[in-house]
Amino acid sequence: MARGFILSSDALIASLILLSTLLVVANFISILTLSEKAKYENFEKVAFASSLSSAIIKTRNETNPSTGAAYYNEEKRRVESNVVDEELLSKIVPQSFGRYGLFGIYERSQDSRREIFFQSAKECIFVERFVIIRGTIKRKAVLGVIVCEA
Amino acid sequence: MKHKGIFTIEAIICFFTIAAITLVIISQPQTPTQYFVQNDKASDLLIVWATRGDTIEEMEKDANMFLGKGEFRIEYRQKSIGEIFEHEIVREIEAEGGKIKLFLRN
Repeated sequence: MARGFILSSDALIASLILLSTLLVVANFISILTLSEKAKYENFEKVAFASSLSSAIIKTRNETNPSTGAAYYNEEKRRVESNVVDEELLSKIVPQSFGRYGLFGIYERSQDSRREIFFQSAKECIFVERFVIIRGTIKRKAVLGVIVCEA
Repeated sequence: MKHKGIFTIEAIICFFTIAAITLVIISQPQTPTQYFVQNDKASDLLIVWATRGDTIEEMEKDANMFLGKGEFRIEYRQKSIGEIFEHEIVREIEAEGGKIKLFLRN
């Protein structure tokens, strides 16, 4: 078989293999980048939800309970961490915090679940916190905080 | 040079290099989302238990509800509830009755 001047058959096959390998690698990197981006965005949302839920159960803000609904103990003269004031909890309303917002809160126990409020939105996640609720009945419960894209 | 095998030495080296690079890319560490959430959960349980002075049986009931069965181990007052995990996160708090240790599956 006559050989070409620039490319031999071997070189042609090698080039094709190299090009297809590059294509596969580029495709793989693209998939990996998209997956990492999605993971990062999800992490950002979880971090926000976690911070917001921490604010709700560990601090007290009577004018805006969406950022603090912890119970104030008159005897100890301090706000109690992980003890939530039921009265303030019932006053929380949906609120946007820029890119993300608070769209719902629910209370869950062993055999029941009660929605305190919920407003439907897109791309929601929830984080659950374990608290004591101080209201008409003092009880231990799981408090779910629903965060969605605003 | 005449080769008797299917692949040349260069091809084998090249193949292993590509495989090694792919493995390195695939085994990138995961985002710490799960660790982050578990840390909060452990902290919540310990704070509530220490505040109330619960018994280990009550703690087990709470952890079953919050974390799910088989996902934790509690150590309190020389008692232990739950299984030992190969990889676990450990958190502890000093309560009135002694140290409460909570182990979560990682």
